[in-house]
Amino acid sequence: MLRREGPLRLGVGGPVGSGKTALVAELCRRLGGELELAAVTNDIYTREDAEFLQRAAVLPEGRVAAVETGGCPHTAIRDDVSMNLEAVEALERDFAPLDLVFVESGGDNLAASFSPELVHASIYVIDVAGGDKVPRKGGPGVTRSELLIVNKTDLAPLVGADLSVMDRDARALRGEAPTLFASVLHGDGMEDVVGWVRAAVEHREWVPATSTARADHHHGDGAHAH
Amino acid sequence: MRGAPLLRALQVSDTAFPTGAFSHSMGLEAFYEAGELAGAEDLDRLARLHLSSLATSDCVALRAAYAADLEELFRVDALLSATKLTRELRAASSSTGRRFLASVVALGVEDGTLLALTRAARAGETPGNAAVGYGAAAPALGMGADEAVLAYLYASAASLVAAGQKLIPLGGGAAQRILFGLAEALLKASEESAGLEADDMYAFAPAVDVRSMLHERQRTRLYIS
Repeated sequence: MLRREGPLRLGVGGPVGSGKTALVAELCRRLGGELELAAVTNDIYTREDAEFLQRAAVLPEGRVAAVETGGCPHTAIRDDVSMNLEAVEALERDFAPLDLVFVESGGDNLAASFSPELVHASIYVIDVAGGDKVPRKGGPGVTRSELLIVNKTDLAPLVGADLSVMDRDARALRGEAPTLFASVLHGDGMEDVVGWVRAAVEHREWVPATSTARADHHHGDGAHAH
Repeated sequence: MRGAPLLRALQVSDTAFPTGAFSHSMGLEAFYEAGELAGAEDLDRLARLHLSSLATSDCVALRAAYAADLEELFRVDALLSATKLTRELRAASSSTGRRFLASVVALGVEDGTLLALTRAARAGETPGNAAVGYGAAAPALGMGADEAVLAYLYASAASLVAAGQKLIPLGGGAAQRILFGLAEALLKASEESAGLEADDMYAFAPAVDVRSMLHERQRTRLYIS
């Protein structure tokens, strides 16, 4: 199990194209001045996401590591997290002391979730263009992530997505765990997302998604203090 | 407990045992890119080539590491790394090896030498090659040297075949037929390794080395190596 010491390891998961890399880049831009950051990306086929972060220059040189996952992005964050741990530990060693390490999964389906041996908490990113029924479909990304972000809210009228339906369905499945609506590209809703991440880094506490709450979150201590 | 070593060998050589091996193709992806991995026959040929190289390097190191003291483990570990000519093959062996050691220690196996090797590998004081990790872990797990070599060879072959299966792609039946057919080659590799000392280790598979080097600059890649 992960220890409480060291930087917060924050998973960022979600389907292909929902805005995971854009979110990580935006969070780096907004938090880079106050926190020591690094990121690991799990591209499916190329180093596109890692290169995007490098080109965007949101992190200092060397702080983005790419991990190829043998065509199994879910395995790499859930079942056998070995190569991600190698990358995370190398960043933590080379750039100590860090405050926050993002672990961005490859774009996957709704069945993906992060191993508690890899990250302390995770954000799951979906977007309105994937259909307003996605929260209702559940799956561990929606039900077990500490923060659910519904991205691209600006597109909702264009794709016929009803945000109130998404909000209602997410609430029903996630209990008290937060769901935030945002348009990462335009900055809408980002203050709340940044606020959540900042609090997670500072206090190591978050509300568990109650429908499938992890056992180690029951006693009020948000961290995995094993 | 009779049969316990078999159970231990099955567990640590299982693809579900966390080592990250599923992220590595050991150069196969570059053979695929070059059009030299197009079907079951190619995969069978390349797997045999890989195994013949392991017979005179990894398997020899594993036997030398079996029940060795820490100083000898470091020596064997360094010698084995020296047989691996390419950056990706060296990194694949040491990154999966470090994770193999961490996963064995996480089982709760208590062995002073094993713990010391695990810590040294993690701290970067020794490469922590997978074969050396197997050799160091085997006595603590109750496995004999021969069993450990076969378990290691099997795990290597299974992960290679799985990578080839996804790259080509092949069906599960075809992939398992290849693995089944490799049994004799695995036994032969194990036997051959018993005749060499750590100082005699070598690996000779230049085609694999060249492909492994080209893989570093491959644009589209599913695998780390």
